[in-house]
Amino acid sequence: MKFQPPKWPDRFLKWYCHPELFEFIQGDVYELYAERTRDKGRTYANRAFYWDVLRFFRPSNLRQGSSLTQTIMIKNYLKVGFRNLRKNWTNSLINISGLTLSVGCAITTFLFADFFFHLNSIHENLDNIYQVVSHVEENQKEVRYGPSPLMLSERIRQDIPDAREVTRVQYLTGNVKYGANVFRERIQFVDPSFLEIFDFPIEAGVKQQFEAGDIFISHDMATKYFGYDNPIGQRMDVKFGEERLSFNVGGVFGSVPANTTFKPRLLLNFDTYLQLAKANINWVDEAKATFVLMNEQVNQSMLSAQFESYKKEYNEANANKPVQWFELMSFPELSNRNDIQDSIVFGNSTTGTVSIAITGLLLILFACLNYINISISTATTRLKEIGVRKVMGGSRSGIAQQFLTENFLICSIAMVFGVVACYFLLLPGFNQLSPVPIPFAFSSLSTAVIYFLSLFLILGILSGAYPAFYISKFQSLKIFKGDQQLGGKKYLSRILLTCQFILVFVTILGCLVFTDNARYIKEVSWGYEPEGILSMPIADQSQLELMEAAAGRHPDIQALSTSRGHMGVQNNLISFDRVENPFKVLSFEVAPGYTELMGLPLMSGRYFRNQDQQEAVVVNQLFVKEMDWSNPVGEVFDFQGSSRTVVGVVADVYHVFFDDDIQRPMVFSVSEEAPNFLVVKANPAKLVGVNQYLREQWSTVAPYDPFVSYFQADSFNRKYDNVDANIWFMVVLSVMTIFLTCMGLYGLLAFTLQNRIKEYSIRKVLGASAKHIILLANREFIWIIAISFGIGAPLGIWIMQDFVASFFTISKPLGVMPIVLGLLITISTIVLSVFGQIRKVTKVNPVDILKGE
Amino acid sequence: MGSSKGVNIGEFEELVLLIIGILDGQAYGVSIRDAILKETNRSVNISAVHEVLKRLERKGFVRFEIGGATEDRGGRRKKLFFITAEGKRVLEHSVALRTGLFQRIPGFSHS
Repeated sequence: MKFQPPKWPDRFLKWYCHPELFEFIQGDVYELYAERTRDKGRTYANRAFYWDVLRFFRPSNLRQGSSLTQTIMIKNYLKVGFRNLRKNWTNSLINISGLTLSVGCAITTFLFADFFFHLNSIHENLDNIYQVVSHVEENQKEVRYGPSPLMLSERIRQDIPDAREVTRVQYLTGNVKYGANVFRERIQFVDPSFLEIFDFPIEAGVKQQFEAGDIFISHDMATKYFGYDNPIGQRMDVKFGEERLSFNVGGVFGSVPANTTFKPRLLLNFDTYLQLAKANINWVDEAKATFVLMNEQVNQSMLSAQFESYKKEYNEANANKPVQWFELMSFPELSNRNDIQDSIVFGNSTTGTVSIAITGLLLILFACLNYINISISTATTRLKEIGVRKVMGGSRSGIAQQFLTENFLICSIAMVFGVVACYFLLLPGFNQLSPVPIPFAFSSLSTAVIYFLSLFLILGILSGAYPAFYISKFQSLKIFKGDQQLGGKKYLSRILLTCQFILVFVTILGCLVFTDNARYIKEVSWGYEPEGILSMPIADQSQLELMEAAAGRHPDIQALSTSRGHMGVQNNLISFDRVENPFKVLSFEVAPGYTELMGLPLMSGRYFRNQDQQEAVVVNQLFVKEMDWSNPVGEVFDFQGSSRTVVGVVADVYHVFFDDDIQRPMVFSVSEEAPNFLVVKANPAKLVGVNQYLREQWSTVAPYDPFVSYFQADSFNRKYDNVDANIWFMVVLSVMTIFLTCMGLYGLLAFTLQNRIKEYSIRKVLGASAKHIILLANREFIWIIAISFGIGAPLGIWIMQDFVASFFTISKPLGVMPIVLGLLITISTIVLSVFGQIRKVTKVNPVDILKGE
Repeated sequence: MGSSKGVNIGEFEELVLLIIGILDGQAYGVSIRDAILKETNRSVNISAVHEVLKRLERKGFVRFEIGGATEDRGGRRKKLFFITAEGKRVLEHSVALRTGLFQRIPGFSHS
């Protein structure tokens, strides 16, 4: 043909057109096309061709009854599909559970990624909100800090026209009281423009009227204090230290979506903070954060020039800690970083999110490949069915459709179960680890629809397309002759299985090493006995004295003391600025009995005596080592502006649970200033009673302040929970990988056995023993497992050693136990998963197999 | 006449029928469309022509033969249409009816 019309409309015509009419219609449109190409050019002809084909698409030209036949067939396909599911129920169960698991994981990881990529989407101007972040050099490393000087916001407001709004944010803790409800709360101080920059919904009150005497509260706070009984216009008392102030409730925030990581709870005007803290607008006093709302188009050169001059001014005022530069960091970036010191915005690392999403995809891929192996091997039992269908006139596409329908059936079941698994099991489990709980919700409805649809299609096509088209290609003659061979050498499957087993060993060994360490660390001694110690933070001096007296009257309290800061609860880390090698020390100012009460083992010298003055200090062994003293008692050094003499040395103890600084140099000195902790020691069994007694006493001593107390033994608990969550996560991960891998093994083994069952039967007839046959059938798998153990075990241990070291600070040397246990668990699972099939091969009567010929 | 089914014929159907007659054995989709364009300056879509042909065939006014393929048609054969006796009668009837009625209009000159 001289003129080639466009392909797609031509195909479309062929697809819909009634065969009897097709030739004449196509001939006519071709002829017109040729005519038009000659007369008016190709573009016009092409367009006209599309139009003609479209115009011929009318009922009288359509293939008759085609859609009708298809619907009827789909019903049949479904029916046959269900029958096959029931018939091969073990395989179906394995397939469905494998796919369910991966679908559940895929949904969970997607929810996770969707959540973190849409953090704080509530704010309309999110991309134009910036925080001023200062870069400071510390130990040859550039460190980002969230706080910025108060003068900076003042200057930005004056100098930079592109800065539409500026707000400072600061926090103070105070006792908030309404009626009989008294709680200790963290209160946020902001400028009124805060409410312009961030779009927090207001459910009562007017956001433009945020006056100096107003307090804006969140919905939760309104419920907590007022039981949600319109609080607008009510007065709340807030006590900061000794100062008691009263505020008018001016507004209540509505509830915000869960992906909002930076939420207001109790908002006061920033001017109140300036008065309370006696802070001045200069380059030294700081706000916790300064947020700027910029115009969309920003004059960059002017901006950087301004910030350069701010840096100069700042560094003149703070010669001892100069900044490298001030950076305007956008809000989305803030929420994707977790390396900003003292940041008030929750940050999450993007790499974590991405790697979790990749894990989810890998799981899906594994499950699909396993499914392909299994479904091809089960198809061998249906070879005759395929042959007969083809002989009876079944088309290849019909057979492919049958297999695809069955596959989509399995996928839909897996999808439903996957959603259930995600909702009830995986997501709650995941949330134990996640810093913010992730709800079962998508950022938008369209995201959800698109995601589920594409997941379903990908799953269905990925897992079903290959088997369906591969199987439908078989020729009936070959099938009946018994010549049909399935697959080649299956190198890909073998390599894949090896990779999966490597992953199994990595996760299992990792999990065991971690658990081993976690158990070790729970049993490890803290260096002192935390049981029986109870502490109460009390800021008010007279209250503390009254409580001390009350505690003294209780018969079960064996000892009591006071301190400023308290080990494990309020650790006051300061830098010890000596001329050479300054280092950080934990400084506790204590009453004389404190070190004795805490049970810190005395290594040399003595504990404090009652007549000791401020110059007497007790230090720990790390401090001695740091100072390089051989005979520490009696040594004199300058600390915090005065000369100190060491009177005693105590052993190193773990003051916090496996952070970087589980052990630090410590200095205990006799308190000159007012203490803020009351510490009591009692018989551990009586401690709960003592706590109750103190609570009762507190309500008479300080009716306006909330009762807070800490059991010393609990001070590590939060971390223990974290460890338990990690263990849980790793166990789940290991179980999943081993489950999916064993599915793959099952599929590959089924495949091999199907192909070689005749060979084994003949061998049996000729006298091969069961042992011999089992070995023969499993030889390649034994190799696969051996290789993957060789690679996976060292890899898993190596990775986990690093992780453990970063997580626990003190780690246990690697034992043989985890390796042996890991191997045992894996092998027993493998044996369990292949046992049924192997048994079948050894038990089957060779006659049954061979007489089919 | 006038009572039997299938005698009624539409304007476009009549036009196509006349064209088929004029083309005298060379009438198929494209040629009919081109002739309509030439004779009446009406541009119709090819699918509309096919639709009418199907209708005329159903009413028994035309019959078709399978004709030769050309290069332009990519080797596809033609469906060549001819007027049947029934078709001829319908045309005659329609023309007679029309001229009869036309001549009865008073004040029109007759040639």
